[in-house]
Amino acid sequence: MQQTTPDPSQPPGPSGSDDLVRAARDGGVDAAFRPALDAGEALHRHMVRARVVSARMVALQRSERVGFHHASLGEEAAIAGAVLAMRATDWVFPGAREWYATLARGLPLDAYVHHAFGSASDPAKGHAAPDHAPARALHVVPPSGVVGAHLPQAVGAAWAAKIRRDDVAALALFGAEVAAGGDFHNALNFAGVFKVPVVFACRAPADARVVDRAVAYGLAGARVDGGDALAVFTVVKAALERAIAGEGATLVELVSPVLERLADGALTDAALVSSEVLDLGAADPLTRLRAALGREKRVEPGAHEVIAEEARAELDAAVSAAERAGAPSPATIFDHVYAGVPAHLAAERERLAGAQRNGG
Amino acid sequence: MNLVQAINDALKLEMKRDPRVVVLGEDVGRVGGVFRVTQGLWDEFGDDRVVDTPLSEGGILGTAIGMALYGLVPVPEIQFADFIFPGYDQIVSELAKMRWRSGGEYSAKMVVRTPVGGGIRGGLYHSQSPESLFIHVAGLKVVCPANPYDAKGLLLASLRDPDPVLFFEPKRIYRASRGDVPEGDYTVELGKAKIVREAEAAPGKPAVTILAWGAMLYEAVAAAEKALELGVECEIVDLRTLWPVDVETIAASVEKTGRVIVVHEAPKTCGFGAELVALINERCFLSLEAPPVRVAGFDTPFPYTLEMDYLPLAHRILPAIVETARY
Repeated sequence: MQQTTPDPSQPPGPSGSDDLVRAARDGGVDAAFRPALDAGEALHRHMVRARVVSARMVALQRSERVGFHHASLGEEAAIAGAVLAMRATDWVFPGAREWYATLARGLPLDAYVHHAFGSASDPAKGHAAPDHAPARALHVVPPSGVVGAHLPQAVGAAWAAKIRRDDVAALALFGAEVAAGGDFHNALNFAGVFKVPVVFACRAPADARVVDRAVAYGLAGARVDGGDALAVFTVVKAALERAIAGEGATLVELVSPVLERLADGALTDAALVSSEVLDLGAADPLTRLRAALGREKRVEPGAHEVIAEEARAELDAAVSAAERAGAPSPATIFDHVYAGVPAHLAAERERLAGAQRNGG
Repeated sequence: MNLVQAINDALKLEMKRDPRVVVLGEDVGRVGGVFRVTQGLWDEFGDDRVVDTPLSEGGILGTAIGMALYGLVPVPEIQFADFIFPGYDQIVSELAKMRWRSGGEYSAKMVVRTPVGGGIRGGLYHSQSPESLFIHVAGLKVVCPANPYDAKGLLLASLRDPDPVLFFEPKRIYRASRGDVPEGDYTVELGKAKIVREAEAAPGKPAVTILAWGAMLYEAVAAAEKALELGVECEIVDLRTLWPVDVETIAASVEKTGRVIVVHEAPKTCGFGAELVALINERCFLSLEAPPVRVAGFDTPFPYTLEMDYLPLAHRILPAIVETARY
């Protein structure tokens, strides 16, 4: 967990430099990471579901049935690994591409699909674009459309928990692009100054070295193989333990895998809805976890096919339900702007209803 | 009590009453704030509830939103409204939209306090009045008191209102405005303007409605006194809550007088006066005896040396009253 002090006379380490944390050792799982095997089945199940759902949403986007989707193919270990490492009482602040965090916490898949379609049954009432679903009961804050805006908010929530003496931490999930903006600085600076119980989990390309920033803010840092679910789970759990022990925030850099099948070119429409997406090459986090759990006899061979089939069936039902549900009524535009509906909004709502009555 | 003491009193009262209330900002703790509005709070409530933050408005407002999501009621202080812009994205994109974008699941209740306005030799970065930039954003409420009684009552109402409130404090009258303030708990309802001077129009005796708020209310009153010497009566409306604005009170006054002047420090173009005039035109077109007039700051940055020429003071309001009355 301890960040090594960088030598300022040297350029940042290149891709694959030896500080990358991995669970694998001599063809097995290193002793330090073996406790994560107990979460292996859940990790595997969520990662397969995340893959199947994202692939389907890419297909639905291509056919213009949903407005857009933040594809997360290959990021499943980073997202599911980090979210499952937190306790159900901890708060999660995903970015849009970490939409699966909400599902990993327990949002029903049909609610996510209703949201993607902005249907009348969308928990966000059709107000927010796909992949921005709220889940307050699960302590998941809906992503912002402003990249990185959620980082200081995650710090604020964790800080509030500290002020209230609650045994609660927060997890912020984001991509390395966020590190270029002011919200990243504000979040890490406030987290460092006030020793806030927050974990920053940053998905990053191999050459980003976002983790080096931890030193500047007095945070702990770790750089982890983001395609290694057991490593992600273990390191984020350790960061959570630091947080709840009052030791402050940790910046965890999760280095994204490069998937051969995606690097070669886009998947075909047929591949997206088939089991082809379950193995996108040797670097695929699903393939790697499946192999590790198989060696440990933690999952049955073919379990991924069963999970995927189940998810596909749920998706089929959810997509047709969302399409059947249709759009929310126009009057709902005016709901939840404020706690009540002020007179000026009531008047606009009335005028809109009148225009519709008159065939506008 | 003056305005500073009244706001301090409201904060102290609510922090005692509601353990969720947390004050944070630059030097709000030991120093008691750049204008000493939060003086004594740190001694009474300690580090957890009165927090000196790093100098970063984006960080203050961003973390305050997270606190509010969690269930606290943060009261961030921005030292000058001019400095709110590094945090503007968090207000516009996050604070204002949290309830809406989450379909009503989440809200981020807070009161952002910040001093506004010129006349203190503050120059262009300590004098601005950016209220219209927040009124334009759906989901926010905007308040600006003009006297200590209203300041305490409006702040207590703002803290207890379920929506985020921008609470603009007219710094020119922080200490100049004095008045009796009840010791205990009371609120001044949001969304209600107050008629501070009444007038009646009669045949051959025109009257003019003046809409104002904050420090400029006193300039409107001074101009109205002079106008009376010239035979023109003025009805003055202190808006108090700028949004949602009390359009009923405004319309009733304008329907009575048929003439209206809006006074504000902010630049004229797309200032709140533009919206007020539009609302009056929509509501009171057939009652108008003269075109609505705006007496406002100029469409320039706020000048340091010539600030008294920039501000819409009484000597600029009076000719507008006379012209409107004689139209």
